[in-house]
Amino acid sequence: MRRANAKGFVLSVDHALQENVDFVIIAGDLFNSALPSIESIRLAVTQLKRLKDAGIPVYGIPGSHDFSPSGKSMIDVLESADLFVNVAKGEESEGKLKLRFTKDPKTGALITGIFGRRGGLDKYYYQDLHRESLNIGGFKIFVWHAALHELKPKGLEVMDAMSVSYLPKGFDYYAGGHVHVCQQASLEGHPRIVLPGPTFPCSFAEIEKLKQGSCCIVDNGQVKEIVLDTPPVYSFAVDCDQKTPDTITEQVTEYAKKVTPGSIVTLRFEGTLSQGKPSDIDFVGLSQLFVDCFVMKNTYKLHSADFERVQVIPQSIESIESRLIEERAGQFLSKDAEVKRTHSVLAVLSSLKDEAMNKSDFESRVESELNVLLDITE
Amino acid sequence: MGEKGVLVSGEFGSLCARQKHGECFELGELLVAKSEDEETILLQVFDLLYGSQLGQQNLELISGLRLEEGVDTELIDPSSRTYVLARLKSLLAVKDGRARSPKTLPRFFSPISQVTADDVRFLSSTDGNALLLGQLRSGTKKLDVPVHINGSLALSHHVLIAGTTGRGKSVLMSNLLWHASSAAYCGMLVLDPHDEYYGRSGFGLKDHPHGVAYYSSTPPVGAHTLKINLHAIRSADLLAVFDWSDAQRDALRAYEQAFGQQWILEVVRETPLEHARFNEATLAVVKRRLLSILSLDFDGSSIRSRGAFDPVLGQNTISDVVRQVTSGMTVIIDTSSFSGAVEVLIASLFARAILAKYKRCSSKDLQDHPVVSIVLEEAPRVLGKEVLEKGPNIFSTIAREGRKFKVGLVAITQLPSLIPRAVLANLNTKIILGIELRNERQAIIESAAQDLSDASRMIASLDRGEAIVSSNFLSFAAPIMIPMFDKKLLPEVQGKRYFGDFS
Repeated sequence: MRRANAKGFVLSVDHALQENVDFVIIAGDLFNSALPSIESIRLAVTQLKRLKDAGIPVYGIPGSHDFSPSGKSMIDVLESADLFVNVAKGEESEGKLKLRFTKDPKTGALITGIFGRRGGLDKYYYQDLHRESLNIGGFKIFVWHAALHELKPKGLEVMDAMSVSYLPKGFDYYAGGHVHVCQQASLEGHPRIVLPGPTFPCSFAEIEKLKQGSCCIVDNGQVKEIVLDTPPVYSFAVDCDQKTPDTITEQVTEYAKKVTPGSIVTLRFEGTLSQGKPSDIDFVGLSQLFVDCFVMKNTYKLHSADFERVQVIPQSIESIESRLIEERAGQFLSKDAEVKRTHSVLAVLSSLKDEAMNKSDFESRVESELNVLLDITE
Repeated sequence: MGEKGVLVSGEFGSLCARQKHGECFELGELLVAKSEDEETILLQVFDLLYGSQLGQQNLELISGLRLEEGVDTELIDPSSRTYVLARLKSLLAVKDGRARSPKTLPRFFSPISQVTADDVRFLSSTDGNALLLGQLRSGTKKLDVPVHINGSLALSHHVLIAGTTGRGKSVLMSNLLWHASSAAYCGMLVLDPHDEYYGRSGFGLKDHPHGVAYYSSTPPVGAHTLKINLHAIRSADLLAVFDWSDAQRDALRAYEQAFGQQWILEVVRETPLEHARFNEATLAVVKRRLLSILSLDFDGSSIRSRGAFDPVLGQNTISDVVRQVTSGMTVIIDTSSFSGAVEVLIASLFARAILAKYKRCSSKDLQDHPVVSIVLEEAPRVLGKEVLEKGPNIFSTIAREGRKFKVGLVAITQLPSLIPRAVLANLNTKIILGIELRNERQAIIESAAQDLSDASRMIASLDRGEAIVSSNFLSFAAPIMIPMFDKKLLPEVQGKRYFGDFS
């Protein structure tokens, strides 16, 4: 999977070089964390260096995964090495966020944006955005990293999102990240809102749905979706209802005959077995039927007829936290408001101190942000 | 409190009191007297008249002398001989802070005085389900007594707000929404044809500290673009709102049956049906009407949206709104840019989804969910006799059975008489503002929770910001003063954003 992911990124850089693009935009989450593994850094540096050597600048913003409020982010390191230009730049003016444009020297395009933050905290930057200062002439690009309500596809209903109206109006192109779908839309005042999709899907459900990675190339205002030639994906929904483990094995054996080696395979097992229990199915053996393939399985909806299901869902800390918040929300505010607010408060509390900031300034920043979030009055 | 008068005669529903010289009774004024067993009887003035110790002929003679002869006749002891009488009705008997329906008359010659906050303490509540309606009003005087109602019960059992234009319906609704937005027990869905509640250009619900969700075709910063995916529309939604010929109705149903959620797209693309045949002209009209109603353009290959309905965007709008209101939020849908019928269509889509969600809940799950109340301006458009004669719709269904599923309506209208009596009777809380038209007052009076048969004059005399609340969940029809809706409601927040991450 990691190889497929890396291949997707390399292929997107290959396309940029082949098409001899003027510049590249990465709308957040170049890395999975602010301090990624050496392997990921090596891959990123190598590919960004290829673009730099070809005279193609790379503009972008940190995303919800690789942004760090402490400033200790690999994105900053890449910027220091002149491999990446973070366009989310600005300063406070009259209590508002006044963004600065980065001008691409070759095309004159003016690029700015707002980085993504966990817990939807980036929404507050949009609320306090100095919009008048963005009303200047020229070809303008806005880079953002958040889900948009109006564009959210089915299946992502519960994803935290902001509305399109938060994006400043009057830009020629809106380069978005965060939601792993390939989508284009135009709404009044916001032409060409583009989500290019991930260079490779990164979860079982995404692989099932998207199959392959993608990126976009924009040429004379025309947005061209590029499907990246990542390893082929085969997805099988295995209907296990009223079947025995043996029948299921036979069924999967038939599927395996259709798959070419070197592929990625997803197997979604669903239904209630007629006899036996899910552990009677030899999943390891089934995986080995797919020669030289990477096989992923999902048995969340696979039940045994004989035993009451004990639901132990392996989850990340964030998802357990979200579930607990969801369960207990609604005691003080509306449930939705309380969930959002709790996530925002957790995000503020988990922020790290910037090395350049003294302790008292950091505390006052956290206190101030919490006051705003919690409506604390004097 | 000093005496304002003395009870002198009357019967149970119509007591007569004489006004003390120097005092002034007002229509709607609240007064208290004592019963034989020391209960406090809460009384309300519903009529005023002159009284005199002189006969009518003598009174007419005195006035004639003044008018014709210029003789200013002076009566001996005039304050004892001429006076004002008030007709009062008993509203409640209160003892030890508990209110019940009165069963006895106050003492004969019982002194009556102005009601005090202590007399009606039971009207104010700090209960988590309390919804503030306004301040108690006695005549034209505002008393320092907040009037609360059990919001959870009142909203699920439907509310009617009736009043002539300019009497304060919008201010009242804004206040109710403001307080409901702070409460966890209810979610509010507001269909706003005048775009007046969010406060685009002034103070409004956008300023609420807990936030509200706002959907509009022209959203200001922070609001959602109102986009509803075509997949969300069922043929029944269109059949309920627009007039169609029998053949057109059959065609709509057939396409939905054949193509499921894609049915509108397939009508527009003129995809032939396998198992049914319709006249080409019929299909052409259906296609043209759908494009017009839904503000769509079709260039022969792709369908583009010019309005709220979209073939691509808005896939989660209905589920988002349902999630928001069923988690206790206030959601405002700006429908000001749509025709009345399209507005009703949009409202129906949301209402149907909300009721369906709650109908699917087990009774235990339902207990954990807040009440959802749908605010409908100009309610006779969906609850009027003429509309309902064509058949029931989602709103009449909610009016009839919504309370079982914790879904209620707040119906706002100037013309309650247009709503059938059976539906009016189901709206268990009525907030009545000034109404001049007699038949409109009568419609409300006949369906009120309390006996308002003698309140017609009081309702006609209600001034801007004054109201009477009659509810199954209040112990009497409470006169209230609607508070102003302005920035005083806002808490002062200390704090500041940090933008250092952009340096």
